Amino acid sequence: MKSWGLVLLLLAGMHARAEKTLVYCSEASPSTFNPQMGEDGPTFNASSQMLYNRLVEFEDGGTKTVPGLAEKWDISKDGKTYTFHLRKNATFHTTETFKPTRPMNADDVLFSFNRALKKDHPYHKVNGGHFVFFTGMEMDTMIKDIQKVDDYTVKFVLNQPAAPFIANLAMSFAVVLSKEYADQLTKNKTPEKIDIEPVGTGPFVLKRYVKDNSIRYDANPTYWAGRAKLDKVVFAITPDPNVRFQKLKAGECNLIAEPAPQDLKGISGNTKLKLMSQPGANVGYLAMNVQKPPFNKLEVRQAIAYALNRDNYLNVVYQSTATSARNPIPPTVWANNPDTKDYDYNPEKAKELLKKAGFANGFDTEIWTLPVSRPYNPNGKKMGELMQADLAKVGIRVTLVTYDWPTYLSKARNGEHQMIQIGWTTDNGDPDNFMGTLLSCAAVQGGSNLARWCNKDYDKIITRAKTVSDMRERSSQYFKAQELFKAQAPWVTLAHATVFRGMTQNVEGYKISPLGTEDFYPIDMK
Amino acid sequence: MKSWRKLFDNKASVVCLVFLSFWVLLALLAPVLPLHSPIEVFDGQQMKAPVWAGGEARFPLGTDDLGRDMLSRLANGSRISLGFGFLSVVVSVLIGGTLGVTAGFFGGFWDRFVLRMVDVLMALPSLLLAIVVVAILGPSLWNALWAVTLVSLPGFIRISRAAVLAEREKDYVQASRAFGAGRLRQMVLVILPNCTAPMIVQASLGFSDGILNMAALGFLGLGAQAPTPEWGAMLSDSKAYIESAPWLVTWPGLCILSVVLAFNLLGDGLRDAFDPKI
Amino acid sequence: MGRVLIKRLLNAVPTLFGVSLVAFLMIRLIPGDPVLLMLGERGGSPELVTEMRHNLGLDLPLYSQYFQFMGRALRGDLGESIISKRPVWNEFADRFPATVELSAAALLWSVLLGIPMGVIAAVKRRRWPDHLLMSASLIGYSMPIFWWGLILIMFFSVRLGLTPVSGRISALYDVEPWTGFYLIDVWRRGLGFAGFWETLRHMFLPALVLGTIPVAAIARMTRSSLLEVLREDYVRTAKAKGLSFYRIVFVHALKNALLPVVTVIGLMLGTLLTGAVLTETLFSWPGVGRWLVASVQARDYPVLQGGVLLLSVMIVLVNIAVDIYYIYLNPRLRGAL
Repeated sequence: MKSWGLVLLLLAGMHARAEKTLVYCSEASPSTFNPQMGEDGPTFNASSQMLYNRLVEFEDGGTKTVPGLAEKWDISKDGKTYTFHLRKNATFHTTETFKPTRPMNADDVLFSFNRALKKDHPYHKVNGGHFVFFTGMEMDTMIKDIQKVDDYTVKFVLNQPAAPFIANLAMSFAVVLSKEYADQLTKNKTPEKIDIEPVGTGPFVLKRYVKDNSIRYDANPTYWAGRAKLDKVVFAITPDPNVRFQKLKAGECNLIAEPAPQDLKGISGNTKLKLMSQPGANVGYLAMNVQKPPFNKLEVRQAIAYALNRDNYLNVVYQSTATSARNPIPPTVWANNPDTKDYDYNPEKAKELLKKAGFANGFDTEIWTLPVSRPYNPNGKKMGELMQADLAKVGIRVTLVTYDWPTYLSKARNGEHQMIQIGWTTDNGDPDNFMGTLLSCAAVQGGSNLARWCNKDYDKIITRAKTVSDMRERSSQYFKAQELFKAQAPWVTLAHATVFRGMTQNVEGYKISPLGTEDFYPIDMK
Repeated sequence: MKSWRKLFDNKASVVCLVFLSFWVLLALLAPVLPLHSPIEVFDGQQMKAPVWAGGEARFPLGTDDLGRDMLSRLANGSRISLGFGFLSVVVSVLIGGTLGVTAGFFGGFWDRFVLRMVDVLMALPSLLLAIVVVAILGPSLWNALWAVTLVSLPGFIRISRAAVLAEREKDYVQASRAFGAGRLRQMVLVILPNCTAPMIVQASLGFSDGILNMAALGFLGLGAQAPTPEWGAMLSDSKAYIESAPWLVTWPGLCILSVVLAFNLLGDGLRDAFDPKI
Repeated sequence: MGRVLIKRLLNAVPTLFGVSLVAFLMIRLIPGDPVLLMLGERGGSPELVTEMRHNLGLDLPLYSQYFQFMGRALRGDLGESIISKRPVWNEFADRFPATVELSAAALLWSVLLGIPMGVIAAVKRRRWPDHLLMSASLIGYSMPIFWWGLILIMFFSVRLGLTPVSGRISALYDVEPWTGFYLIDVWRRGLGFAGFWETLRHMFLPALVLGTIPVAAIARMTRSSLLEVLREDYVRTAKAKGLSFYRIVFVHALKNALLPVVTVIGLMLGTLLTGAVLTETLFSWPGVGRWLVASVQARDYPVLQGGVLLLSVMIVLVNIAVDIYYIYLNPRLRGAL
């Protein structure tokens, strides 16, 4: 019996050694394989860096922009025209159904951006036509026109100068798709396949996807930057963080997303595993819907801020691995104001404020708790129960509500909630990506301002901060905005979480991105 | 009365009765016992081990992942499991009994209709049916109760109907009919008391099914909602800590198992006492 | 035989009608407008609401809605999942083999263990093996299996590191779905013994958990059925003839005693499916049970409707099959029909 086991083990070992396969235990199924239409981490991780490239890329593990499909670019004096010079050696994937006849060129760039930009583009409406980030980053109002100069030169003309344009182009959504593939699909009358059976220029080729189970990739043998050191990458979709940890220990995964705080010690204490960490550029918060009474009253919002024992959440939910959040902007991003006046834990004061607002006997309300573990909040339900207990002490009776993740997000975007746990990891490292994206009046319409808080003074400050180019001036504007925000208390800021990754010892060359994206290209396995 | 004596002669049944009385007392007295509140969060006291494993005397059975006293949560959980188990049995006896007795007594179309309903209810596995009901009504403790009750109805209907059919043809019923007893009078005064034995057996088993199903719904997140200390929900919250705090998983499960086991044993004892045929 | 079959099938028609009515009314019993509830978050333009209403047939009178629903269901069209946008039937077919494979494994070990347990208990009636085995089976019968699963994980996986905690096979093995039964499919891509062994290792704990209640039920049933048979005349005659006790038990009595046990095993399908809901959730087993629980949480009503209908039809049909098999095996009943 024993020798049998040994033989089997050997067989299994040989199987694994013949090829370098990385198994990544991810949190959720992607909603699409086209990052242009994605809006959540699991979707971007499964497609953006794996299958595609952008004109500009963020450096590995950093926020600096480096050349991608564009070898270099020039910016006109007035800051309105960007000319990109494309590399000539980038080829698209060869798949079972598609064989490219030419390298990536200007036509592909035009096709990809016009698909999102132009409402009458033949592929605009295919698979829904929601280009969440493209619109969210205001690329549609930023870009006036895109022109092909020659096969390897593309010109972007903007309506007005925009400092974040290059950084936006490096974001997950700004990928380049194959026009040749699209033409073939049009001919076959199966345009919807463009986002389901993806073809990109990236380091890996999609082999097979089984929903809620696994995604398999092979290395792209003709990748322009050189074939990846890994032969295969498998995403094993494992929503339960504890199960991810168990699988890591059992060797079923080599790398796991978002380990649960209570399992961190188990990873760092295991000689076969290693733990990596990095302060995250994120913020977890509780947003109060100011369009719904009683949260329209400032005193009520402040009372809630005083009533929540946030230090306890840091201990219990984050197991002391996060720092207390004072501002929306984390300290890892510039323009974080360290002197903002914070609310301390003070139930007495909270009761006083409630009385002043006319709620001496409290009120009934709901808190929506995160249904999944996110980098900024590993356990929404647990935090919800703590909040429930804290608020009960000041007379506020809370029901905890939750939905599955996509439903949760879209209901929240419609403003159906009262109080909601949510958070944010920056996509481009700019303060506006917190202060504007999450709190501006425009974002109430867009749906990403979940407090639905619109303050004209605040809006004026952040608009100015976005358009000036002097860093010091921008910084001082954001300092002012943060103070105003904190006094108005549309959110209770909770935590800036440290990002952790657990992996087996043989995984080498992996870097945690501060922007929350995963890149497996640099990884090697010993 | 001979049956009851027989029951008390059965050692296992007596042990079960004593054990269950203890739980019932605990459930009734939980609010007045010197316990912490089951939902009070003790800051900085998360996942404390039970007292014999190095914990503090304040929390004899340890604390959960949020820092709530396990002893108090388990004791208060018994209120929910036993209380809702009891409610489910009472409602099932009332509704199921009425349907079964009337079906058996009147026969005909009504009988066939009731039997069809039973067939339909039994065509789905109990937990799935309960899940469907919760899906329609929305997850909550009370909706879980309705679901669990609906699921347990077929058993009660069939047992009471069978008992009525068996009694109906017996001499004393025929006799009372000969003396001109009205139908309703017959049903209530003559047949019903003689159907109680099988109903009591079924009720005891219904208790254990009800408690198991409520716990299962709680475990799936479709029953009791936070912060209610329901045993099944407590289990599902603690599954992430099987490694770091095994007692969180151990206690609620032992509570469920012991109570369900006691009701099943008692059910066996009752059956032996009332119905020596089996 | 054919007549019996037809009679039973006809008998099942009203039940199936009732079941389909329940599944049909499900969506209509939800408090609030089901279409708005389904769209809810996505908002949905008025045209979309009208379109969905039409697709679900909600703009017709109730009776024609029912006929439309049944007409489609009979053609295998159970609608589309709201979440995945795929036909409910395909989603079901993807997951069903996983559930069948797990249930079959659970049933297999529970028969292999339960019947000997029952026989030993009956043979050693009122002696310690009887007490021990029957206590064990009563505990098994009373077990909250979701807890039992956690305890087994704690022991086998966490403490001893012997068995995996979730899924059907390690993601390292690229199993191409063919029959859907991994124990078969692993051979197809040359994953061979290693893959087969991996599959078995993954199946071990879930099957153990899922089989717990069936083992207990089978053991109890075998014991009481065997005891009953041992009391019957022909056994007494055999005894009087001086045959040895064990010869009587194994050659004569057991064969007859197992008849009702077969029925119990057949009717265990419902128990297995109930158990599968919990076991699959606990072990992230990608089967039908976990799928249905997830669709309650996601409020995916077409999936629930279709899943409930398919499973209940299946159970009704299996019950008929068990009935007929029972009659076929039992000569006394065969005469009666």
